[in-house]
Amino acid sequence: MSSHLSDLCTTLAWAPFLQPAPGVQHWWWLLVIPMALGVSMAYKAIRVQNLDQWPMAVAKMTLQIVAAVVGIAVGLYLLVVVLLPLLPAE
Amino acid sequence: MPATSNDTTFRPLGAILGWVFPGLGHIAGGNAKRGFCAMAGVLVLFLGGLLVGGVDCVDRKEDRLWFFGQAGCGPIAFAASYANDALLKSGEAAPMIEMPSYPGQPEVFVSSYKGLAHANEFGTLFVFLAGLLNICVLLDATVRAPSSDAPSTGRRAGEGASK
Repeated sequence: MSSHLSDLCTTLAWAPFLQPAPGVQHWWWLLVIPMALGVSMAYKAIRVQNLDQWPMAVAKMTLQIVAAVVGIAVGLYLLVVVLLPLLPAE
Repeated sequence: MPATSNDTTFRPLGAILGWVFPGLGHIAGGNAKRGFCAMAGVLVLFLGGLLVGGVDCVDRKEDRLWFFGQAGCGPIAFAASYANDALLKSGEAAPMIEMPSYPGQPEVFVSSYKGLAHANEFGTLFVFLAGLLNICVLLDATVRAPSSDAPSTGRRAGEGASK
């Protein structure tokens, strides 16, 4: 309870653009979504032939980037936690 | 690449305006909708970075290598760096904190609003990506034919070609 109250107070005292956003230290991995969205918006703005296709192209590329990052994360997890411990110690 | 024309004449004014503000090169060239789309993408990254990391994530003195990429955003990146100097490093916005230092070394003070760890890393990365993508956008503005998007607006492909 006191932890939630502390988090609430921290958020209410936040000065946007001056201070780092509260909670980022815990939820930093979710930032891949706005990052992928911004990259897709700018990239597809200069790549699509017809701008009517822009929203769908942005959504598709955003999902592709997020899926690729999740895939790399799963692959590295399997490599480090599952495969590497199976190797002989010597 | 131009959408409806083969006119790929190099237009340096598009690059200059695109650097002055993201998307302005396309808007000035008659491709307003494309310019606003590009502007939205670059500003999502730029403002998102400042929101996540604060203005401390743009620092042309302490993070010079990152700033080379961030400067691709144009004057807004320099304004953010100036705000960092004027508000945070001067102690104007928040009290300064003394940092641990070696005996005999001068005392070091930093702003209590200084970004650390993930917040600073992601903020810096967001603004850096905004700068790199704006360079792509302004390069596109130099070779895209003026008003090349206009024929496709309000009309589907194949419509109105002949009567």
